[in-house]
Amino acid sequence: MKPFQTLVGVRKPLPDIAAVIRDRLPEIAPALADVSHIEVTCREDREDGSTLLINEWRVDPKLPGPVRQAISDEMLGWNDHAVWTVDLTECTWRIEPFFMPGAIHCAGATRFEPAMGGHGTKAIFSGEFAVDASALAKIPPGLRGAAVSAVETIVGSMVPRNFRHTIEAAARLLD
Amino acid sequence: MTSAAATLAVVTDDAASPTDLLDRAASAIGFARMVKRALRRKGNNGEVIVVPAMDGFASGSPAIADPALVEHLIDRLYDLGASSVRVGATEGSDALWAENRDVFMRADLLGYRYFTPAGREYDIVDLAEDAKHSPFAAESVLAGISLSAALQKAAFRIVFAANRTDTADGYALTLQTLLSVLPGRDKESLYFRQRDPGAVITALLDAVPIDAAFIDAYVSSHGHGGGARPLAFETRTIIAASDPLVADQAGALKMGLDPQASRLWHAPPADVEVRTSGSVLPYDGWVNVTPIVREAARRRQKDAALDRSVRPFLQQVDTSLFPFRNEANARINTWIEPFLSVDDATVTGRQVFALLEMILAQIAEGRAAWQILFAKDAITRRPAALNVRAQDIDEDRWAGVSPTIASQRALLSGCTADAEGLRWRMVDGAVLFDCVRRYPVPFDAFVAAVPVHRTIQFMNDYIGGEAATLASDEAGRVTRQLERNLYLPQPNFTVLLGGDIIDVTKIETVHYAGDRHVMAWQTLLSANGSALADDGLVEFAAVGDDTVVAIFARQHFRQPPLVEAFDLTLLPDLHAWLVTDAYRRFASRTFANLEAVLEGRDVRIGKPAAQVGTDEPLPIDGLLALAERLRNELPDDWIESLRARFDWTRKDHLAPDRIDAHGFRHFKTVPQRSYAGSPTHSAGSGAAA
Amino acid sequence: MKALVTGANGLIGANLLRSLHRQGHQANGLVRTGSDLTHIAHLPVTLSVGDVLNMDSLREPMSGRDVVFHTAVHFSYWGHDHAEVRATALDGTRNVLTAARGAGVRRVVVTSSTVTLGAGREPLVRDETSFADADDSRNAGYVATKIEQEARAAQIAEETGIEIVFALPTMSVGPFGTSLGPSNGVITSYLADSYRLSWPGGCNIVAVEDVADGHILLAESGEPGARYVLGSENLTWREVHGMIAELSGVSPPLQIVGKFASRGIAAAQELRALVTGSAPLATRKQADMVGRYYWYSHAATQALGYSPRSARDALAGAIAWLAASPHVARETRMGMRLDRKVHEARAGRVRAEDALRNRAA
Repeated sequence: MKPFQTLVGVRKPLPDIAAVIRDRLPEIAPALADVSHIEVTCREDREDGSTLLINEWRVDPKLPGPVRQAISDEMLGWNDHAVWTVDLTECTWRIEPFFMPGAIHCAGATRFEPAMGGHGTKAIFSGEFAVDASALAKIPPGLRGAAVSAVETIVGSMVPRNFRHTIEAAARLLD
Repeated sequence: MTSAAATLAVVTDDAASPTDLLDRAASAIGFARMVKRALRRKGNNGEVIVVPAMDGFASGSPAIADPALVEHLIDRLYDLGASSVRVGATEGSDALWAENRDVFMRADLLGYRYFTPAGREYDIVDLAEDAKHSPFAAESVLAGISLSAALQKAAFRIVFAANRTDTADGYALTLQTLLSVLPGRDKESLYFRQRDPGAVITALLDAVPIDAAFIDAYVSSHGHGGGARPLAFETRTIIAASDPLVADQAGALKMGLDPQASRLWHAPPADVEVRTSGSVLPYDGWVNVTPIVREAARRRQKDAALDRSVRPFLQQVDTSLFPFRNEANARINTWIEPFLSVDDATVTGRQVFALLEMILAQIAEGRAAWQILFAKDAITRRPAALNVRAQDIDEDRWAGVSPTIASQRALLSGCTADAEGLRWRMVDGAVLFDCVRRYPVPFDAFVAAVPVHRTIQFMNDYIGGEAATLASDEAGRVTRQLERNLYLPQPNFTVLLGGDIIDVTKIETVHYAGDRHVMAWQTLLSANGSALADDGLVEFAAVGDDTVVAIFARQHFRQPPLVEAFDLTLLPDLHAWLVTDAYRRFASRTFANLEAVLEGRDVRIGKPAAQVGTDEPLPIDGLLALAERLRNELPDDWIESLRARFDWTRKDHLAPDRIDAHGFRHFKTVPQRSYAGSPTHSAGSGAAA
Repeated sequence: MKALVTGANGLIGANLLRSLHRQGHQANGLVRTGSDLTHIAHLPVTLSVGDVLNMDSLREPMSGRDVVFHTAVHFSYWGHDHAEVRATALDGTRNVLTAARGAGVRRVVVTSSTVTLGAGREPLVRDETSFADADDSRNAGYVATKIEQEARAAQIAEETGIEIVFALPTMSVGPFGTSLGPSNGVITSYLADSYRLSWPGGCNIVAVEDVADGHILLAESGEPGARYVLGSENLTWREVHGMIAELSGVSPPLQIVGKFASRGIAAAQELRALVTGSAPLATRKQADMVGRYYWYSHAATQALGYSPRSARDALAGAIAWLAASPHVARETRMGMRLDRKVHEARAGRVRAEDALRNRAA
């Protein structure tokens, strides 16, 4: 299991910024490098006040030539399953890449806390990911290296990096 | 500015809490009286600004002023009648390589809660956001630099420093903290490399006097890593003073250091009486930055690109709070950490760090020498504000310039010019020389494009400076001017031996006749002692349809000790060769510059100086962009294609169609192509082999 | 004459606009969107926005024109995708000829190049009867494209009945180009070369102003379907570099290097260009031309009244322009001392430009 965590601060009040992340993600997509578009494919407002969202992310990252050639366009992206608490202080999420479905586990939670005396928000994004070794074994040996490389690029660095940019882009939407 | 009397308190008590110590120290300097008096004087303005040391990279770092102490002080200020208290700072160069380093987020992560223990709110402000107006005079070292309006307007200003060592200046206390009010992220370039930091502090204190200075020495940071590698050390002391110079003096003495170790500090005026309570005996067990490391760090910091590159590597960072922006910096920082984490307090630890700084210093000096000798456009230009005032120069001085230079020039009569038009001689240790160039350009066109009063700025190796016009004629042409010039070391190779930038301030007069423009100048002072004399004149004269430019100068530059120690006049032939070579080079390049100015070219060497508001990317970001470009433009199979290109077995000529019995090779002829209806032409004139 | 110049902001185009105006003709220019118009915006000409790859954009600018000067080309051995170079040359020329025919234009003067006449290892002077070998691998890239452009243009002209004349400039040097170009690049490369290298072989240098005047001559008097060399003197490279040195006040060639060394130097230059993001001083394609004689006779054009200035004067005018431009680095400029001839050329150009501005006002 490979854990990752990042902390982002913005000078916008918690309810405002968290609401933008939850409800206006597709508007943020153009501000994110390597992200073609984001589409909300499912939204369910539950009885307990929590909200379930499934967002489809389509990406086009800069991968090494041989790796890029081995992966088709349809595989570049993921479904992001997110459950938001009613007070917007926490979002539990799970990422389901289109590439090697079922073989990659990537999940975590984002906590939003008031900061800067209430004028701002701290967003703490933490998660972990792992690749199922048995799924890797099903891939031809010649492509295994490319597969791991793609996973590490897409999941290991794109996702955390995009989190920071997502928060910053959301703040700009509020300006 | 220091008042006639200053108060200082050094309070140490192992049993007391930090807030108790703070209260006692404040009381000892009459803090309450000071605050009330200031608030009364300012009438309705009850605003107080506190500038704390906030450049730490971890919560609880000993390199920052304890936020709890600052908040406690804020409560005291409200008790004393302040209507608003703000904590102010600006971003530093770390904002370029670490996340969450804006003032607001940084304060939050370091422990500021935006309300005091008594529940009163205070605000955190970025002092660069309202820095729109410059309070500094035109001749100030900070001329043109804006300053926060809130800071300037405040009824009472407090600096609250941490107690820590500093690799370049030995210690970083209230004066270092005060620099954080200045705008611009790259403060190292703006206020250390491009300006004299001591002059910067003096100008700042003149513009925004500090009313009270505190040093949080309850848990200090010692060791030779300075702010980059804070090492906690309990000293259970609070220092308070009514003047930051006095506070820093006490803080340095407590560290066992001469306050002069820091470039920022200067002694308060001798007539200021300092009423002291407490002891300035050094802390027991305190570890300072060694002089060798201080020296090496200063030399390393002179190289902007190197310094900006290594700071992220050397800084200890809690990456959960302040992640690196650039993955490469993160990896290098992680890789280097074990080497630098050898116990700083031990001899081995110190030696590792000292070695690293010395290596970096050597690299910095090597790069500087390389740039001066071979890559002048990589040098960063320097702003150099004029450092004299017109009112300090009397009329006799102005009137004497031309006659003095004329009599100096007369000493060259009888000397023969060489083939390049240069002649020179030594007089009283100075070189007198003149050189001439004829331009096939009409005089009027020449002087329209090349103003004679700016000639010095067009001379070879000019790296920065400023001029002020003091008088003009009826046509608006400059007739009197003061000018400060910076040049690269002369000759350039002296940089290898420790040669310094030449810094000269001059008085200049200009005369215009119909077919002759002349500017004469004399040295007034040399701020760094590099020039004993740099007098001369330049003359533009009409000769037929051409313009003749003559330059005369009397120059005596102080050479680096290694060069001065060796009396070259004992080897007259070598000396003559060196001088001739140096001045021929000066003449040819200066004349080429004038020709280039005629064309409208910018002849300045170097890159523009750092500016507030624009940030040059970090070198590592440039390297990564280059790697990205190479990755995109080189073919994926570049190794294979390179190999194919250099395949010596491949023959690069046409194969013959057949080989006859005699061994002659016959090639298929290329079919003649002609365009329908187009007549052919026979070979005619033109150069033929 | 009412003329349209395609590629109006290029080296030849910008000078052609000036020549046309000076000779009392009415000149319009065609430029692409976003083109750098620094050197032509102030001229008393009408500029239209269009692209030779877009037929529709050509109709309006060509309407009412007697002659079209088709100078638009990517002349470069670096920095342009070869497919792009080919498309501009072939499809662009086809569009220009077709649109010109449709607009009733009487004649099209197509700017080709003397590289289509070929070159050899012997110092022989070629003329319009020569043809370069399109199948020779050394002629790949720009050269092959120009060869094909001429052939296709001739074919289309025959099919459509429009008159076409081919202008074949030699190495054209001089002012007003927006980019450096390989010809002016020969000058700046030598100035920037601290080793002062020259190489075997030779070329023909001509002032771009004369090339422009030559184009007008061909429009007025050239025979339809014919090719005409627009050149001046044939010189060895050593002579060319020697002249550049003399006019610029730098040292003359110190060494002659052969093709292999030239390729090595060019490869290093290309790598440096890749790293720094700037154009290389030499490319391997150009290095392949080392040792060959690009010598041509302009006798046929001379018979029409073409009278070019000497190569030395051409270089003087070019150096006057380049010395003041960003194409000569500051440090390089500091090592130069311009000859009187260069100053005179510059003064002459400034006077001519002032006269143009006054006329426009």
